[in-house]
Amino acid sequence: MDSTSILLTLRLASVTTILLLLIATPLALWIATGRGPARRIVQAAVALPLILPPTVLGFYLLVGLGPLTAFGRFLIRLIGHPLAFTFTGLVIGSILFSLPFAVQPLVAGFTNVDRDLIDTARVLGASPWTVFRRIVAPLSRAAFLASAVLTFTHTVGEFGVVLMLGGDIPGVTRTLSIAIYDQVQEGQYAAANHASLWLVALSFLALLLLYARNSGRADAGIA
Amino acid sequence: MPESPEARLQHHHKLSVQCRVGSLNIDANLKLSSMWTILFGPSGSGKSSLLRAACGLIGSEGITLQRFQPDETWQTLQDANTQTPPHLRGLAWAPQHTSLFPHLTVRENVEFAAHHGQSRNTDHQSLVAESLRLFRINHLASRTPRDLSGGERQRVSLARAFATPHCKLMLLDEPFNGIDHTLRNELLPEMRTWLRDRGIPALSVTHDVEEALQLQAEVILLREGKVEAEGYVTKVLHAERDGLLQSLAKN
Amino acid sequence: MPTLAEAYEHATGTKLTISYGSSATLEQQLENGAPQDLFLAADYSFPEKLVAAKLTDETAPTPYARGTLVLWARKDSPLQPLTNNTLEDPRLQKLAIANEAHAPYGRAAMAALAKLHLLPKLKDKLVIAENVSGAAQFAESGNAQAALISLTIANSAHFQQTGSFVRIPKVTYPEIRQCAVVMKSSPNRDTAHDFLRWLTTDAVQANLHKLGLEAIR
Repeated sequence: MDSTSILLTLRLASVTTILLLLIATPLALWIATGRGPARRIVQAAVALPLILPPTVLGFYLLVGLGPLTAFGRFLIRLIGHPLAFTFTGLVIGSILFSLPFAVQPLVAGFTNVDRDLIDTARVLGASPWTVFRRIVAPLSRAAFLASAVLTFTHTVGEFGVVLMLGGDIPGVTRTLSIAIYDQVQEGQYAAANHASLWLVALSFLALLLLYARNSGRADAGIA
Repeated sequence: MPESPEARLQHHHKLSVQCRVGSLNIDANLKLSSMWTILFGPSGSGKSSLLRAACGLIGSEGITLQRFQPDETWQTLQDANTQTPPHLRGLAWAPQHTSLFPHLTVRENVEFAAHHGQSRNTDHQSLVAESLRLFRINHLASRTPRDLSGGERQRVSLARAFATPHCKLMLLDEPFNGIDHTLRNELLPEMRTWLRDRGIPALSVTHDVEEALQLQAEVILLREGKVEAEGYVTKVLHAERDGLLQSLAKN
Repeated sequence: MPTLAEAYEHATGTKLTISYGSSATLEQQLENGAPQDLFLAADYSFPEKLVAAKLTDETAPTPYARGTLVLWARKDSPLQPLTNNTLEDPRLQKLAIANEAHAPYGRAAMAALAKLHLLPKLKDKLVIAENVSGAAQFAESGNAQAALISLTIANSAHFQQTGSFVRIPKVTYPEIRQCAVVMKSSPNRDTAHDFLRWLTTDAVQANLHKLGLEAIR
């Protein structure tokens, strides 16, 4: 049992999910409630990782974060070494890779909140932040759940980006999906099957726990 | 009975709206000067839109809202250069479709207006308690909007508006929708007293002739986005009653 | 490969359709019924697997070229100019190699590093790509200061333009014998054999160096 890869994958998925929710929420809020043509452009841009092959995305990141670009050089000066082959580099890749999975459910959820409720709350004296915290967010719980689950499971199964950016370093960038790929390539099918079961079990467990929690709340009435 | 002269104020609010809402062209100049003003008119005349304009919820062009201050100057809440956000206008609002927060209990809905997310203090608590009592919904405090009847929801919406502290103008859109006449006639004088004790003027929207008569307030008659008449209820409605009844019957 | 294909077509009129991939991936696909007629691998072991699975015409893989391991770095890499001692340069922070478990050049790279007694020092600096192209990419993007890759890649136009290389002494790694097999199930077996024969003629072998490969003999 490759516990190093499993723990690494769990760590990567958790960190990515938390960071991505923090990034996606204001972004989704702006797309859902803002005005002007800029929103649509941003919304389309956010959806790009959906159509880019993961290896292509990984390749762009490899080059873009490396010493060949001005931005990459700036990062290297800041950190002391390139982001490729590091856990941080993988987190950044994962965040970009799963961005649409995090943003789109949130946009749908926020848009679905009855406009009248927001208007009423505003007139009754609630600041925009209070409106979000006490009205929009609680009524978008399902969207947050979907966003978190999709990001988490998507990152657990991530392969192409990690392949291009990772460097296969055990404990640092050798995620479960890479480990399985290596085992398959080496003909170690038994080990690969074993690891794959772990991959499926992890994702399934995450889905189950979160969906069970959500339906529990629904039964008790939203409060 | 007409209001006593002392109850009449200098214009406490001036609302001027020139805009287009859907297919309706609104061009109205409202100078509010009494403790309770009724905005009266058939459906589609723009009454709710006027309230929404005062709240700052529809566009920003062609809308001017000013408030007369204790130091006898006018404060501009909205015009071509200023747009005070809705939550800073010192308004209370019971909208036409109640818009109760479905994930909060009745008490939490009313509390939302009282302290909207800030830490509670005893003033807020007593305000909430009094408002619940006024609208006779204490026994519903722990229920959620889903479990209420139409009339009960309406009363919660009113209680929520009334629990808004530091309110300078109370906006009520069809406040007695779904509430039977007997209860309405009970609530009206108590609501009047509440507002009068706190010095809060009210602007309510209705298309119910009987309700307007019951209130005995100043009436602004609105038709197709334009003010047709203003004055004391019996004068305005007496002159218009036949035409109104006809058009209301058509609607 | 395209050059070879062009030359063969020119000589015989037979057109070749080429599918690319790592030796390991291709071997597995062929094992599971991929329709190619001929498998040209980067070493001996993968064609051997197909022979063992009784999927080939021959009883042993046919060597067609020898591979060479080189150390490649970008022209602007801090390690330039490359020498035989570059691998011990402290400025080498990341060295990219292919995965030794399933890539022939990765195996060769690890063998060379072990033979040169550099493994203890370089173990933590290694970044592993799934195949030799990936290793080349790591170095080409500048994220790794150098890479141990095949002469074939280092000799290609793009890599000649962007960097330079030094050969790793042949004694430090086992010979990379690139071998081929013809698939038993192929409807074009005769043509496949013909191509293989052509590939191993003196004339063609003499020109292999242009492709970064060395002749078998």
